[in-house]
Amino acid sequence: MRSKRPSFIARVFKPFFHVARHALYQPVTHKYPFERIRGYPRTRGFITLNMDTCVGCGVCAHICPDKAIKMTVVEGKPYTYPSFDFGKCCFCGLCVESCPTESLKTTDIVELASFEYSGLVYPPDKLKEPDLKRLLPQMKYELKTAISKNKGPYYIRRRVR
Amino acid sequence: MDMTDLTYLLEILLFPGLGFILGFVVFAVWYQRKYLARLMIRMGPVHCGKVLGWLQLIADALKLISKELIVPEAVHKKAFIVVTFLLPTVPAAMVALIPFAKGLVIFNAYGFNLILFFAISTLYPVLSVLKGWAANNKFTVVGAFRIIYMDIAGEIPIVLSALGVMLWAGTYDLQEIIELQREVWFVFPQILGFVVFLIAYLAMIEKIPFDIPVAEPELVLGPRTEYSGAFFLNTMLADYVNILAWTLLMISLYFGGYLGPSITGNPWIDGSIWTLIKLLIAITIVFTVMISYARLRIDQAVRLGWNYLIPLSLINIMITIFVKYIVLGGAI
Repeated sequence: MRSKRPSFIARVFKPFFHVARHALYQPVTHKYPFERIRGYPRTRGFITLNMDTCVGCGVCAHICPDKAIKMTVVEGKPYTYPSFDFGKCCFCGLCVESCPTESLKTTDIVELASFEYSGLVYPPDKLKEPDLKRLLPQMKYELKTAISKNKGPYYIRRRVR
Repeated sequence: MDMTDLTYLLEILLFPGLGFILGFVVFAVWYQRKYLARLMIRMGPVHCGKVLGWLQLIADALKLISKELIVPEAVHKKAFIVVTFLLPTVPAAMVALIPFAKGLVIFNAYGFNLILFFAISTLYPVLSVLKGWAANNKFTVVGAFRIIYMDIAGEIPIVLSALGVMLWAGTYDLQEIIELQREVWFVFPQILGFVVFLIAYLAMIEKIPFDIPVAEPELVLGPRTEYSGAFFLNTMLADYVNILAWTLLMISLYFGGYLGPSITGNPWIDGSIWTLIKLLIAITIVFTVMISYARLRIDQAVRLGWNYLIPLSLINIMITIFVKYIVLGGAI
């Protein structure tokens, strides 16, 4: 059944006040290099490795669809450990899911751009959560999304430096 | 040169004159971009200038001025160049007739300011049509003809609704009309006329929902399509000065013009401040209307003008005559 057509007054005035209310809202855009939205939990970004719990089973390298993981020897450590080539990685997260000891974890960091290809290849001892200060030196605020009933979506700002 | 001559020169060059008009255009473009961005929950210009991107417009203007002046081969060269420089002067002449405070008006037409305002305003569409015709392009010519349509849809109701105010006030002088609003603004006794004036005003300033001549998805930029660089800047300037002139007229006719509680004690400064405050509120409402509604088709706009606005404004005139001369006996 067709819904009833709104009245003339509603058709004329409703859009005006609906739009005018948006003047009270905060902009949803943000100044990216200066402000950065904190990623949601389970965002699939940079992958970290805990070398103390890793047993070097190689499941991650076996399951990787892009063959971005290679098992490499680290001096002074008993096993072979995965090294990541983020130039090949498609961030599918299969390695993290299949890791039997949960040594691999995803983070929300996606700022991995590098001037050289070798900058994208991370040996096992470098697979620690990278420093955002180094990756985004301009960043001043970290944002967290929130929503309010009256004012719509907005950001909670936290000054980083 | 005595003091009155110097004051008059400053009036022409600075406050209600050239400086104010150019300043208003810069402010209005910036305000439009910033305010519309807020209504769309965006930010608008941000990076140029430390605060609120205020340098963006100056950068844009400098960019446009420093561009190469391109005059296409097939255009009427003289008209193409002259019209763009002539166009902003017409609405600027309209602004010169508006009183900004008691006695603060650039050209006092001895009690015929309102009539002269409408007389000059008829020149603007003529020059706009010439602008479209001179460029000799499909889009510009179609845009020019749409300007004529919009003009016959908007100008007659706007003059007829202003006639209601003239009858109610019993004068053609804008300053006297404003002075008569000391007790009650004319928007209340002339509410029907105001509604007609508001809709016709939106048609006259050619903004959405009546930006039919410049319908971007259909006509690129309408009559302005072929203009680039400084020519484009001039046509845009003319657009915003046109908005300024009609908005000032609306404020003067219906919202008490420069009247308001005293702030500084100096009547000229008070009047100017109140005019500017009312101007800001009016253009805020215009910009809100701009993004609230969809564009009308040309036939819808002309039908709105002829089928509804003109009869309503005639009814308004009859009501005005009846109430003023029969109910109130000739005094308001």
